[in-house]
Amino acid sequence: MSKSRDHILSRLRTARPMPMAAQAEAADRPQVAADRKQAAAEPRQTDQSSCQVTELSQELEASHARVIRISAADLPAALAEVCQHHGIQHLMHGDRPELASILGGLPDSIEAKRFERPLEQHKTAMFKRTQAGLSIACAGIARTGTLLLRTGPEEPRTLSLVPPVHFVILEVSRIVPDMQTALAEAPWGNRLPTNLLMISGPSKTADIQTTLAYGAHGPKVLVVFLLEEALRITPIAE
Amino acid sequence: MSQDPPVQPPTQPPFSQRIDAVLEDQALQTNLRQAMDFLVNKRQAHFSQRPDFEALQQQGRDIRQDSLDHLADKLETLEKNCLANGIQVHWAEDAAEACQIIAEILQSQGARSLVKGKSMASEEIELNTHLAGLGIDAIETDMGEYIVQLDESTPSHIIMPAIHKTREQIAQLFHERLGTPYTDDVDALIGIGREVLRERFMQADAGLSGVNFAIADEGAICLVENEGNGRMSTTVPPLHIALCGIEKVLSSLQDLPPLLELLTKSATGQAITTYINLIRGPRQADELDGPEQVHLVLLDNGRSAMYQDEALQETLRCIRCGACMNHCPVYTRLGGHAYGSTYPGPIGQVVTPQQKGLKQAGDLVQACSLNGACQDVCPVGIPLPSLIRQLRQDAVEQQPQSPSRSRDFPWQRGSQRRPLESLAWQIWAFVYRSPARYRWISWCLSRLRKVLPLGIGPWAKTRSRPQPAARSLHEILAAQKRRQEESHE
Repeated sequence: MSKSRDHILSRLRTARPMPMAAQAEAADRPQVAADRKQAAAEPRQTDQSSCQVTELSQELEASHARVIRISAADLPAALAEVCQHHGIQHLMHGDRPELASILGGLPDSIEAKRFERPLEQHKTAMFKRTQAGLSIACAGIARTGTLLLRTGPEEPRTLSLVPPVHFVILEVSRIVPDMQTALAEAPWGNRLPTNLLMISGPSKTADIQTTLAYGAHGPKVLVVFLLEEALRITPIAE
Repeated sequence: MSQDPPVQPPTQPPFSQRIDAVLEDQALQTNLRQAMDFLVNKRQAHFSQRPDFEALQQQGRDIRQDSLDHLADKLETLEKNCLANGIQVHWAEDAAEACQIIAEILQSQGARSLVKGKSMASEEIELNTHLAGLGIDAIETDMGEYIVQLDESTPSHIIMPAIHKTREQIAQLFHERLGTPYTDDVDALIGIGREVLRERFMQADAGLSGVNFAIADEGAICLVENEGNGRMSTTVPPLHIALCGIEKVLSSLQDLPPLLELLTKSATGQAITTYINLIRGPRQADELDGPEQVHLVLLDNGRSAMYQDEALQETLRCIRCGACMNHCPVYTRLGGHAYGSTYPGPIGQVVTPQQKGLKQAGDLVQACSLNGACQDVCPVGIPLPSLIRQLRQDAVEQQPQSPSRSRDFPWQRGSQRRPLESLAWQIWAFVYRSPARYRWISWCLSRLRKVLPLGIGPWAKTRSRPQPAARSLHEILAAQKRRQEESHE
């Protein structure tokens, strides 16, 4: 197999030298690297934030997601109401201390389980029983109505994929204007997470006679809770 | 150093015959027209301002060409970073080797069932057939691909594989193959597909995906989709294999936004797809889900040969959006199956002869009116009509016109040359090089117009016979001039 590697690379390296016209073109292309640098360096325009919230909401709603602007204090009640509306009794969430106070406010009729064991140990339950997943987004992109999710131990990949309903909490301060800014700011830290997910609505397809239908394989329902303030880790009252 | 294309047994009637059947099919003609209009209009809604589109197109072209100019280095960087991330990397020179590598990975893990996210590259290497021969069940999970697989057929479009079928046809297919009650309600049909495939995702031993873009600096692969089957296939099973054409490499994350925008807007007229997934590695020690193993198979299959030809290497900029075929007047009437190749439409007309040789696929380059719509809409500015013209020349000439072009590539150069046709053109050139001979032939055509056989063969089947005038334009003008001179005397 490494012979194939050598053959392929050597064929690529012995390609004909570029003719003069193409060389001149290539000389113009440092612009590509410069564009990249510039894009990475552009400062975020924070004074646009309320427009961005509106833009994000509109884009998400146009993609058939539901958007609820709420304060952290009202979030538990809003979540409970949405769960009731969709008949959710089995909800799953990641290992997030910020969710403690929110989940504490849910009625007993809703079972909120933490995703704390490897998927193999509860795969059937995940596929057949869990009705909703609850995630926290690390950023939002206004222009395309996109939520960024960083997967990891506290945000398993299947949480935002397998249950037919997906709830996402996004703090409005984490909304950026466009994808370029989102990738440049890298709100996931130093290293890309194992999966960087960009979610812009519920699952859909137009493969049958170009007719749009939702819930192809991913969640059929996406509800986004836009929080005015930051989620806090509050100690659970005894 | 020249390779021959893989030997292909002739399995289908010639292109000209395939076309006839398709043009007769009124239902198909209507489906195609509606579907192409839909896609064209959706794209147009995003790119109505031509200067804005051209600026983005130029950016896309530059990023892609920049990657291609340093392709060997980028691939090595990609490999190094993928390995550091825990992604295993394999290199396949051709389709057979790619199938073998994938089969070996599956067999080493005892995998008997494979769920497939959308991968045109896997169609290119005919993976499903190879795996079936080894008793490995490969199921397509993209709704359109699933429909086509149930139908025991192949995709007719690279983005919307079942676009040639009506919902009634799909309803009948589901009813017959799945035993579900007949319904032509699209939501219900999608619901059926969802249930069936959900079981398969849950049970599958492995998942296979394509790659939209591979990011060299990050050692990561980027996949875009609307349905979620790509994420299912690459997340739920314990093993993920990603098949990636070597030309799909980009340098850095910052290259993604303009290309993603071009891809989604050109393909389906969307500002963004529902899901974009950047996969950087397998399940980490502290993670609770995700595949234990991720493999990246880098596929050559003729791409490094294309790379070596200064004109044809522009083909490699392609990001597989499908805009060219959506806007092609020929594709709109033929649909994908008539082309008889994995990639149809304008890009298929350029890629297929390069991969399969001009003898086998050289007739595809004739199915073009050179109207240029494809080039206008190509998000990375591939000069498709020029490449098609170039291949037409390569098909009939043993020696390349330009000294900097490869003599050995494209394969089977000159194989479409017909001695009689060549003679006819030589005679034509001989006559038209000389004004005197040209005048003489014009005179003959006009005077003998009633007896010459001008309805020749296939040309006359769909065109009315040409009618030479009683006198040539030269004669008319000369007579006019004489009359004017006489009247002035």
